[in-house]
Order: sequence, then structure tokens, then C-alpha cells
Amino acid sequence: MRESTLQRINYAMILAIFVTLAVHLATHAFLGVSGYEDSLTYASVVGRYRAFSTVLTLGVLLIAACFHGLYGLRNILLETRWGARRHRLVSTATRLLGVAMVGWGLRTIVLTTWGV
Amino acid sequence: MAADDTVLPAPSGMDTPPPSESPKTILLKVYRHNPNANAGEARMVTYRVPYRRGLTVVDALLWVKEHVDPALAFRYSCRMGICGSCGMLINGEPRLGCETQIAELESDVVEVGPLTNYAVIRDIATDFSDFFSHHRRVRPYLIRTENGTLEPPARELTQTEAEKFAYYQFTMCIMCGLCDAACPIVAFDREFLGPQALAQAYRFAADSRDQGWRARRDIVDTTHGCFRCELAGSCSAVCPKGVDPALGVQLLKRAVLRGRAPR
Repeated sequence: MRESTLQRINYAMILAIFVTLAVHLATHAFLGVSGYEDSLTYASVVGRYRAFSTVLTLGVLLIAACFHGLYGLRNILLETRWGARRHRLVSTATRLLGVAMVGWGLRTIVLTTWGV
Repeated sequence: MAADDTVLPAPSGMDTPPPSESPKTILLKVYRHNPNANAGEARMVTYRVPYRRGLTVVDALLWVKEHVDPALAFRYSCRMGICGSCGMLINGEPRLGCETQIAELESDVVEVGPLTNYAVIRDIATDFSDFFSHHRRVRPYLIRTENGTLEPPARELTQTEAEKFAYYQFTMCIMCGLCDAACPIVAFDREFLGPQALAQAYRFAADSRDQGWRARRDIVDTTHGCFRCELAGSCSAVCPKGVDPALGVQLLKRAVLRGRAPR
């Protein structure tokens, strides 16, 4: 994949993080709950996971944060002497790590949503 | 870097300053290293060099070469800041030896070494093979559809002032390599094209006469291309010709992200 494509995706992910994080924090602070502490109770958390909008927000946040973080990690590794010489290994490793992290996160969201 | 310091006195009767000036001398600490020699350990050697008004670092090195050690290796040619041959590390900063006067350094001790980020051939002479290779990779010439044919140009390729000034400052590059020596990314990533090559890629991409945007974009939009630049800005800070390679790289990034030539 071209570097410019990765860069464009990264900009989109940064925007997605801002939006979804804002929505996520808003649901804890004033959207449909009485207060921040109440939003962290077991019943409140599980209740929110039943809503499709929450699942969508968390899913997007998970993917965006993983991409943004691992893209940054990849760039840091590429700036080391070791990483610059093994750029294919670095790119592949961070890509696989991203897939694993997103997979594990989505699994958690799905299990919580369906109460498995 | 330094392993052995030796102070050599200025021989009497050689290049003595005129009577009207004070017989001042400076200490010139020079990096000496011959990687091909068996006992090729790097060391700093100190020479006492007679000072005169207007003395440049290249002048001081030439004095050492003529009067003390003919084996001292360094590269120079025009001695007037045009050819870009005499790039060296002067008191820790990449500069042109011919354009740097001892007086402006405001120190009686001047330390001279090879440019960082380049392999040392011998003493202060460095290997520019990678640098030139990166420069060639970005195809630093006007790409036209008629290139390679024997057809004469069908018309004159005129430009407006605005079209010329879109790239003009980047034509001032003398390929001295100081920007690459100052770049922290070049220090780690040897495949990184570097500020000089990327700025030249922009120079030709921004030229209204050029038709090679796609080919050049495929070269700079890679893992070791323009997006490796972290905008440290040190390339622009050390350029002896006032070129701003960091600006060129950022403009190139913008053009690549927009997907069209920067004009």
C-alpha cells in the first residue's frame, strides 16, 4: 500500500477517534445517565452495550485507535536503524498485531452485547 | 572520535602574516582517519595555523596540507560557495569550508571533521555515492513526452514569473549535502531519499514544463520517501544557499496526498 494511502487513512482515523471518543465520554457524562459514577456501574455498562449506537461507537473507536497507535508504532520502528532495514517485517508485524487487537476487541464487544 | 591529540607548531618563515597584523595563530583540530589503512584508528590531530584576515577553514586546511602534512585529505574546488564540494563539520555544524571564515567562528580553536551521515573515505573526504544515487532516483530533470525521441520541440516552453517562482528557490541547490548531513532521519534510515533529493523532486514536479508527475510520485510515495520526513527542519537551518528543503518536502507531501502535481 502506498504511504500516502496509509497517511490518508491515518488522518481519517484521527478524526474518527475525536468523534467517537467525544460520543463515548458524553454517554458517560450527560447522555442518558445521571452522572459519571453511575455510568460505570455494571448494570449501566451492560445496558449500554445492548444499544446498537454504543456498539457502533466502540467498534469504530477500537479500529481507529488501533490503526492510529500501530501506525505510529510502525513509524517509530522504521526510524530505528533496525527497523529501516527491515521495513517489510515491521509493516507486516504491525499489521498482524492490528488485526489481532481489533479481533480481540470486537470479540469482547460482541460477547458483552449478546451477554455470552 | 578523538583518540590521539598532537599539537604541531607553525613552522617559522612560512605564510607569516604581514607586519601590520598581529602574529596570531589558531588551533585547527582535524579529524584524521584512513579506514583502508591497517592502523586506521580515528583520531583528532591539532595543528597550529597562522591566522590572517579573511582566513577560511579551507584556507587553513590547505595551509596544513602545504606546510605540515601533505597526506591530509579533504575535498574542495571553487572556493567560492558554488561547487558544493567542501562540506564538512566545523565546530560540530555542517558548513561549507570555503564560506566559513575563522573570524566568524569567534574561537581560536576550530574543530573540523567529516560530514555526519556519510561514510568516511579518508580524513574529511566523505563518500557521496548514496547521496547522488538518491538524487538520481527522483529523476532530477524535466520529463517530457518527447524525451527519448529525436523530435525537436514543437514550441517554446514559456513560463510566467509566478510559474517560475513556484520552484525557483530549489534551483539554488548546489548539492553540497549539508542538508542530508543534518537530517536525523538520514542518520537512521539509509534508504530514506533525504531532504536534498526530495526537494529536487518537488523542484521538478512544480515546474510547469514537467510532465513526469506520475513517475516521480511513484518514487517519493514509498516507505523511504517523503512521508518519512518528520519536519525537524535542520536541513533548512544548515543550507548555505538559503534553500528551504523542509518546505519542499512538505509541499511534496501535500501534492502526493492531493494526488496531483503541485501547480
